Amino acid sequence: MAVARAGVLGIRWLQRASRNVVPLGARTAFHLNKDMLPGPYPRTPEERAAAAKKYNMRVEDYEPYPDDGMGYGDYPKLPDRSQHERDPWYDWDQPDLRLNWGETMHWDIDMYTRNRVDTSPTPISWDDMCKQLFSFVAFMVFMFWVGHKYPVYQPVAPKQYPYNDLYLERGGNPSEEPKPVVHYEI
Amino acid sequence: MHSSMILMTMIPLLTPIIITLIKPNNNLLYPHYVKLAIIYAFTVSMLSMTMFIFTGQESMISNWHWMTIQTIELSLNFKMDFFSMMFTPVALFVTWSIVEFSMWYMSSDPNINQFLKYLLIFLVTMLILITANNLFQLFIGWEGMGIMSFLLISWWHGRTDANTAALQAILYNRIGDIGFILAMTWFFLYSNSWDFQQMFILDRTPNSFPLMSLLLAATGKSAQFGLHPWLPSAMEGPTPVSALLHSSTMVVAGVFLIIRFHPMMENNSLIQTLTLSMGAITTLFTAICALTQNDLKKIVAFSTSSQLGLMMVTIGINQPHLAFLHICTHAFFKAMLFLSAGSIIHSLNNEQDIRKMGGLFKTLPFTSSSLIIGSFALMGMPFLTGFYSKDLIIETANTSYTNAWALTTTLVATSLTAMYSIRIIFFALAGYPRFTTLILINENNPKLMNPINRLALGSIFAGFLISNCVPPTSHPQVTMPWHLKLTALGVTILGLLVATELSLMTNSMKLSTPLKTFYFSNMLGFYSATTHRLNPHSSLTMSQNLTSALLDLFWLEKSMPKMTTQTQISASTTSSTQKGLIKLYFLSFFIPPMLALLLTI
Amino acid sequence: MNPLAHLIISLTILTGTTITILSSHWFLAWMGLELNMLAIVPILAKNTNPRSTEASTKYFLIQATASMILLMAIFLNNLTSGQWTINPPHNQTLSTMMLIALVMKMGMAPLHFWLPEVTQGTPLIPAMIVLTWQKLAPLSIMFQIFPSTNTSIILMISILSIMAGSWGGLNQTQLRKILAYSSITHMGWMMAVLYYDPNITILTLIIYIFLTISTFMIFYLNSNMTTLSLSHTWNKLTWMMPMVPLMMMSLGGLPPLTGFSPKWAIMQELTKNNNLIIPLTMAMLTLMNLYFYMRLTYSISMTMFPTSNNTKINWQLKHTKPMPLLPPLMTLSTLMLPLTPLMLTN
Repeated sequence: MAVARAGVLGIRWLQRASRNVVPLGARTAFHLNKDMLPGPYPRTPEERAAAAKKYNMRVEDYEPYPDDGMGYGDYPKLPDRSQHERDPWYDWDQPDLRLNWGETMHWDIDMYTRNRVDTSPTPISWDDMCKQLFSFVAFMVFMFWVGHKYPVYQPVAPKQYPYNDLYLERGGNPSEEPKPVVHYEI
Repeated sequence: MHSSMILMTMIPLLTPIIITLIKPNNNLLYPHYVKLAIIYAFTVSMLSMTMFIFTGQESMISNWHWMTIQTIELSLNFKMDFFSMMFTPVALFVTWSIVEFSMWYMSSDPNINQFLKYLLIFLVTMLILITANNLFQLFIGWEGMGIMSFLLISWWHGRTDANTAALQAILYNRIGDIGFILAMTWFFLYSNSWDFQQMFILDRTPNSFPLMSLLLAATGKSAQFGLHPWLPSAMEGPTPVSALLHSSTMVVAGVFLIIRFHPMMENNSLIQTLTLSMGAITTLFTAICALTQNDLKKIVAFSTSSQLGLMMVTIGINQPHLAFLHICTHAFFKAMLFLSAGSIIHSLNNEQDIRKMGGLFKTLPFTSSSLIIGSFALMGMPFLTGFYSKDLIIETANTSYTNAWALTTTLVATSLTAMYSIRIIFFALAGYPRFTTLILINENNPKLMNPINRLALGSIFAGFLISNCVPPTSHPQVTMPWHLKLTALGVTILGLLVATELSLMTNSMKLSTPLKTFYFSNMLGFYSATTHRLNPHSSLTMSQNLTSALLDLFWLEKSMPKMTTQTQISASTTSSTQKGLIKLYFLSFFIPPMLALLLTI
Repeated sequence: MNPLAHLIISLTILTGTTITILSSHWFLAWMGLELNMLAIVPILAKNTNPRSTEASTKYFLIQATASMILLMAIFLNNLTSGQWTINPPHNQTLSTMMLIALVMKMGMAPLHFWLPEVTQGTPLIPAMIVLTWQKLAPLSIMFQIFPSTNTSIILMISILSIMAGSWGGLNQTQLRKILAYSSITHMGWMMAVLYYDPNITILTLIIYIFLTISTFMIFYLNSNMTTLSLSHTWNKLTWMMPMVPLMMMSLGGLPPLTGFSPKWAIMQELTKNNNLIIPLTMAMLTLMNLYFYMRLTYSISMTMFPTSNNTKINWQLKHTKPMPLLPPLMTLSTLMLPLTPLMLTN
């Protein structure tokens, strides 16, 4: 009796161990099961409402991606706004991502985290910024070209030093003294 | 004797690092060890520098042969020429002060030991870079600094801004590293050596490719225009890090690289022009950006960027010794400016906005006076440290046969230096207090005062001493008319006057909608605002499309499985759809025999 | 049909082929072919429905044409060489004419269109005869004249046959047509190696005949004509469900089974003769054959089609078609691979 019991327990233990070692059931290569993937594209208003509820959104806010075969399914198309734009003083559940628990994330959340693409509003429009920057750079490059074509030159003379203009200090050959340079005539 | 002293400079610096490997406990005295090691190294390096100045003997020591790859021999080589011998004590002196300062500034940080260790490793990598005699060793120092800057900027890694800044620093540096590696590869292929002496002998005038790569490397490391945005962002790190980063390590490494390779560059006019233009546009652009910043540290950071541009300009007019002189003098007053800024920020409870300061001259007299000394030295006030290098650079640029626009922009940037410096003084130090009350302002800790004191002395006298050691033969001195001699001073005074006048006007002007030109300056020339949005967005979107659309949909689905199916289906239906009419079969049977017979006859 | 007539006709079929195989006289060989052809026509038309009649008519027309071409080539050969002995003709044009005639008789591409239709038009057993026994006589002549034929033409015909067989079979649900296309492919393999080692051709032919006969026998047990009807196998012949996949895989040439042996030998022989692209192409195209065999397997033993099923206990009933040869044939057609060295050393 005891042997049988021990045998049964041993077999159960082996089963548990093997289940831990080799996970049974289908496992996908990208570790997403069907519950984590978006559902099918909603076509009727009821389906839309159900999908909106699933993603913790109001029906008015819910807008899926176009059904163009890219596999977005019923995932909501959230505005392309960076997390950096969100309120820094609000008590977020995840302060580094500025996200609340259970909040639906943007499909490309990895692009819009705080240290990637920033979309916060600027005082000047995008076009103006680009125009000003590029016109500045273009102007500078052009002027460098002009300056290269017409360099400045101030008439100066080299400073004269004693000891035959520092002949030895400039690495001259000590065995042969050069002739002293004479700039005058008598 | 000489070479053993150099080793004696290096080895003490390594001891605190090795100690943590052996005994990684949280020793309260560890900061003192670090400081002591640096003091010791500084003292020894002063001795060897004095000997070098006395004898003027350049030398090279080879300690350890590491490996030989075909014809390239990698060994531990130290080069002891003018640059390394002069710069080592300067870097040690500045770091000594910064380490002592951080013992005060970071005293409440639980990981202060680690912080000081990082600072020390940072310094050691810089010294490796300075004294390296081959490209490989230089590369170790170069990359080590990149990594350490990343770790130090993101020291407060709980803050996303600090992480972003550190990522920016390492990514921009990586772009520069691409240039460095390209240059290394080129030298590997074409000169069969990574030793400086051999490279210089073999390629007096190499083609522009390796030099362009080196310029790219310097652009990344020294934050020249195009790769500059990481430098102001790096202000997210602790103030001692900013001080060390901006004074004697990291940012000057790029300029130092160009100085090292100057023997190759001096005969290549294309590279000279590029360096000059790059430096000039950097110095002007960053000076413009500095004008309207409100963050105290950002202004100082932009002034560093501007000074780096000035160094590049100096190399662009073929004066590496002057650029080096400016590196040395700049280290003193820039470190001091940052330490003073740190003192102010610390006293005002981490307030960095200069609009919320004011009147600190009364409450923080010592810090204020050193800030003023530093600012004046930065402007090039006669007989302070900055004067000796800056004046010489402007004069030499004035008397050179050079690009007119580069010279103009440099002069404009010089006057802008005075403007933003006076702006700090006016807003932060003068006037009435605008900060919140009940702040415990205190600046009488010796760990704060001694470093600033030393650096203030350095900011006053170092330029005179160092410029006297630069051999007069290394750069041609010229006689010049008095208006040229006074140009540097003149533009600085002009900027000073304009800034004073403008700053006084701010008190009586009514608020108005800022001009677009104001935003250009205030938003860093829109460079970060545009490139930091466009590039990540396009590259991330492209990657997404590549993986999902190209790889998944096309490559793994359309190209093989779907295409095979389609081909087989169409081939199958076309080849086996028959009508069953024997007449047609005979007609078609007529063709193959004819073809076969034609083939054989 | 009158049993006596049937006996005589069957004997004539046997005799015709045997005469062709045994004779060394061109005219006698041709006569054997004609006997064989005339005798098979009533067998094909045994069911006396229009479909069978059409099939036998088609068969007659094609074979008669091919025979006439062959006869013409024989006469021309006699004219040029002055003798009736079966030797490889010295004139290549005559060789090609003979090749075309025999290709037409064997039903290889590009003259293969008649074969699936004739096979589909007749009952299972005549179809089996058309696909197996009827190949022997033309192939024996081919065996004797191949040295003088043009290798490129032979290889071209082989590749085309394999293509036509593979792609044609993909498009079919009718079992006899599928087997006809399978026959076209196999004939392609046989012809491909003929020039390099005719013994392998014989080996391939023998194994092909084993495989085809056993397949037809299995189909004949239940009178299966379509893929759909195969899906009742689980109910009628449960013991067949594991056997048929093995047979099919053997037909497709998967390694541990008999069908692999000729493919292996052919590919090895071609590779030895520095042909790399041709065996590669052949193997790739034959994969499609394997595919449609597997499709049959799927409906036989791997799934249950949603079709109505009247008698659930059909498989328990005694079978009315005793087939004593089926087990040894199936054994031969699946387990003969280890005997390959024995078969190849001759």
